[in-house]
Amino acid sequence: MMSETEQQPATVLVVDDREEHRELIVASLEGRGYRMLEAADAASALEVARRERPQLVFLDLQLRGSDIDGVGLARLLKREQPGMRVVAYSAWAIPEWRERARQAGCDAYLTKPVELAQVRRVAARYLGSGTPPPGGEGPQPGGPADEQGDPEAAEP
Amino acid sequence: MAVAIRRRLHWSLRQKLLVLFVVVSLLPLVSAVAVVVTGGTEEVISELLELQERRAVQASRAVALTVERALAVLGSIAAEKDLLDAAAAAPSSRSARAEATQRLDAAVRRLRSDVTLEFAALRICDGAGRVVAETVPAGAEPAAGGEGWLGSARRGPAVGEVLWCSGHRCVRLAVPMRLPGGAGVLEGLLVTDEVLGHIADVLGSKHSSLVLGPAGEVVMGPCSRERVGSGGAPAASGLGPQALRRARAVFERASSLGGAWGSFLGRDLQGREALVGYARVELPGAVTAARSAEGGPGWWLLSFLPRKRVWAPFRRRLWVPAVAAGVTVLVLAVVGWVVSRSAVRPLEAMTAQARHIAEGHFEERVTPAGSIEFRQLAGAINAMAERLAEVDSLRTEELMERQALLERANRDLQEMNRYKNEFLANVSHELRTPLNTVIGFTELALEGGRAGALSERQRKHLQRVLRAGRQLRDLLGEVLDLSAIEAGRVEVRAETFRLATLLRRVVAEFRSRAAEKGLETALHLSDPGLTVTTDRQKLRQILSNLLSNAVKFTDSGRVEVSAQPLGSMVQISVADTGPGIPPEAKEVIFEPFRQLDGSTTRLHEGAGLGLAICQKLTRLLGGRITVQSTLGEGSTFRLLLPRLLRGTEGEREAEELGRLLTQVPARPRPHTPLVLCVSGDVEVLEELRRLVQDGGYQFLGARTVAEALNRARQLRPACIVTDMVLADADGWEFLELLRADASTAGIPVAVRGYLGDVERGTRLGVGAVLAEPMTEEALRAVLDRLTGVAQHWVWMVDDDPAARALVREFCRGSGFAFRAFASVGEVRRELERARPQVLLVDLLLPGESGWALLEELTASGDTLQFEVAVITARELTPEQERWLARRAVPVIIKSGLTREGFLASLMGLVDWHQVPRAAAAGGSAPPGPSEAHDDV
Repeated sequence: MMSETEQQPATVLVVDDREEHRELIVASLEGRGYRMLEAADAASALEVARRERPQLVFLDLQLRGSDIDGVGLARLLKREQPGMRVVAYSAWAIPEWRERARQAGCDAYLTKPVELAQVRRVAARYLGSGTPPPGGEGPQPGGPADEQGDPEAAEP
Repeated sequence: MAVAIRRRLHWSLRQKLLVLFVVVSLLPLVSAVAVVVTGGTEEVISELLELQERRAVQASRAVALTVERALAVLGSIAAEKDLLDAAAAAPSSRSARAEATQRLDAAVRRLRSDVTLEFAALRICDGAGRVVAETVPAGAEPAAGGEGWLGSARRGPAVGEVLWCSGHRCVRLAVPMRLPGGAGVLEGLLVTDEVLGHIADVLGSKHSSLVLGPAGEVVMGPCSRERVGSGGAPAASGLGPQALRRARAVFERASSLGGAWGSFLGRDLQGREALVGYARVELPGAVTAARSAEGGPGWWLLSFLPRKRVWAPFRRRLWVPAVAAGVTVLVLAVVGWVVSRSAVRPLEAMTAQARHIAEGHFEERVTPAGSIEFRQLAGAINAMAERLAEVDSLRTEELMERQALLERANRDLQEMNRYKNEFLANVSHELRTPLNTVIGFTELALEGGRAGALSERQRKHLQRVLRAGRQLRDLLGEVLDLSAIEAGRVEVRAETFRLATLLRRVVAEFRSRAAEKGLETALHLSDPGLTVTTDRQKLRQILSNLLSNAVKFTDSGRVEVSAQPLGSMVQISVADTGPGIPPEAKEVIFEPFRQLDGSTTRLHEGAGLGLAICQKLTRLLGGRITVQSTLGEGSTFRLLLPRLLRGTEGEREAEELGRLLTQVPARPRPHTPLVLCVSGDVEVLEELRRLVQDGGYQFLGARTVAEALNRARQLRPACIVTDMVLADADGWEFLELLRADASTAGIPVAVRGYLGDVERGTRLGVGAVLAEPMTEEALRAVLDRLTGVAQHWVWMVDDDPAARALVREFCRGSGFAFRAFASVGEVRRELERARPQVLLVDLLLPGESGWALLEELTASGDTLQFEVAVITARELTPEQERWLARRAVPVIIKSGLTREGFLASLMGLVDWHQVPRAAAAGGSAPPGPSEAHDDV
């Protein structure tokens, strides 16, 4: 399994009930060597996450038509795979949501509308610039502490 | 004051009553004394005079009786024929006289048995004065002076005359008797003191008395034992001349008053004022006859009582009213005390109750007690209290109504505010969602356009769309910010930091944007080391806004930021070379939705909320913001801030509390494990202090990294509980430094609140995460475990021995105790009597399957008490995953599982608390960062 992992590109899962918002992330990270996966609801997101074990998840906090919302999903994902980076991706700009996401274990918070540069920076920070080199580096020390300090991620 | 009045009233009423009773009780005594002293005297004196008179009469009778008896004795002697014969025989010879005396003695002996008169001696003489016979009791002194009175008898004393002989202090009664047969005259002399005794008996010892002859000559006296007169009194009476004169005067007075008896106030023989009684002595017939022949009125008895002795009887009489008065005083005093007490007591009770009412207990009532007046007073007070209660309840009702009104208004306001905020948040959210598409895809389109797919014109159009989209986005943010500030929902958190660092970061942010427009940026710092204590985030937002404006409005030239300390303040200036602000606009640019926009100036982007937000934030930080501008030359915004954000009352208290909480105990208790609690938040520290101490541990606080490290090094706590927010850094910095020091690397650490990066925490030996809200039980369980008091259990149901051995190996040294079960039946039996912290269930088991157990546990709510997770070697089907997700059961995949990954999963499983300490905390080498990726 380990040898497989080393050769595989980094996997990114985008969870959003709006197709165009998923498309935005996928398109913005296109051509950077990431394996992009999409899920429109919590159940399929969980299924994909368990199966594919993505390193990074962009997660809309409100998922229409799902049993649990993005916050609950984030909590579950973080419990199952604490090493997974979960980035909240929401149009909620108020501190309450930010705090909810933090409590659920999200590593960063992107407020819609996002700038493409923000998305790319976050991806680069957590995954490296593209296909991870063999025996890839772990998360940068101080990564989670930066989640709120990151000027881009914190920008409303 | 009130007490003093009460005491004065209290005493005066009692005193008055007591004094009244005493006076009343003393009245009879006073009146008795007054009667005696004034009008009573004369009456008493006249009574006494009467008494004196009666006594004189009695005494005179006694005298008369004695004389009568003496006469009877002498008469019977005279009847002794032989005796008389012998006497008549003129006893010349001694023998004859002896014979006569013998006869006399015999006669006397006879007489003594017959006659009641006590007499001392009897002598009979013949007419020539010779003693014929005499009888003298043995041992008695022979009568002396006999010659004297015999002589007087020869001169012819009257029959029955009583002579007084001073020498013998007795009465000598000489009675001449005619002897029968003409043989001559015999004189008999009888000596007796009986008369004196009689008189003394009658008169009593206080009186003196005197018997006078018809001419006022003293016949007998004074009969008292007093010694009367002085000097050699020749007179038979033994009285001095002065006494005799006084006796004479008294006699004359009595004579002038007349009557057989009488009394008057006169003087006694010593010249003292005295009550004088007098009475005629009724002598027997024979004597009287003789006296009558001489023409005298007979004898007179005078008795004297000195006036000074008059009071003696009154003394005896006075004790009756005196004792009566005393008893009355006593009784009345007691009665008075009781009455005054019973009068004052209800008054006191009423006073206390009235005071209680006055304190606002208008529903209380005074208990009517005591006399009718008090009851009336109580009624009046109660009526007053009732009225007061009415007024009070009216007022209270009114107040309550008003308050309810206010509360309702306030609630309405709050609700409206909440609606407003919700509305704003929702609007923002709803606008941001399509805006995301607009901005994102415009960007994408522009990116694609670079490749040549778009014409220049199309690019320009798309850029406009993008700019408008971003403007809209910024506006939304600003609206929310402003609404939060205006709603007072923005908290100011002061921290101390270097101003230069912040300014450099902010300027750096805008450098590229400025460079795009061809602008220079510059930063001037007069003191690069300057630190300020204020809200870093707010200051940063203000500066970002100002710089954003400066860059936005300036087309050429430069943007300069400078900072310099000004006393206790610091001034930060943002200057640009933009178009400037006309003077009339300076007032309105800080108002929301006002943007300078006119034909003379360029059309600018931005909603104009930025400056309004800046100003409000600046005020929050205790500063002010001003603008100086010249049209066409540029503007300078000056921010004047206090270097030390003045804390509110609450913050000062928090500071004081923080100081107290971080004190090092002077003498740590020896047998109580020390727990070092680290947090920049004083309230968190205080909460930890309470919980730690309640849990039976010793608390030690620290707020900064340095403080915490020092205490950890010096005091070697048994455990450290740290917040991830410290006063001067975050928890990571502290944890890194703590682990870097060999002396503190082994101390178990629990993190309070949110950890975030579990892997990093594990690497740094975080043994537990205490989720909020923290309970005493949770903290205690963690402390017990970390300090080695208790262990936490992981149970596993798996039929594969290799898998069990692997997990057992993972748990070794992790702080978790491991226990394995081969079948569902086994674990179910064990669950009857014990609970693990985590139960790992393999799904494919011989016999009963793991699914059934999971179904049962999740349905029964047992997952609330401990964590259940699936541990499986196989990929799950989508249906299975959905099934597990619905029940919130996490899944751990066995393949490729590392120790690090497994322990991290365990941490996640126990819901961020009661997480075991990783191997690092146990002292072994922390796993390298590269291992963290193995589970991918």
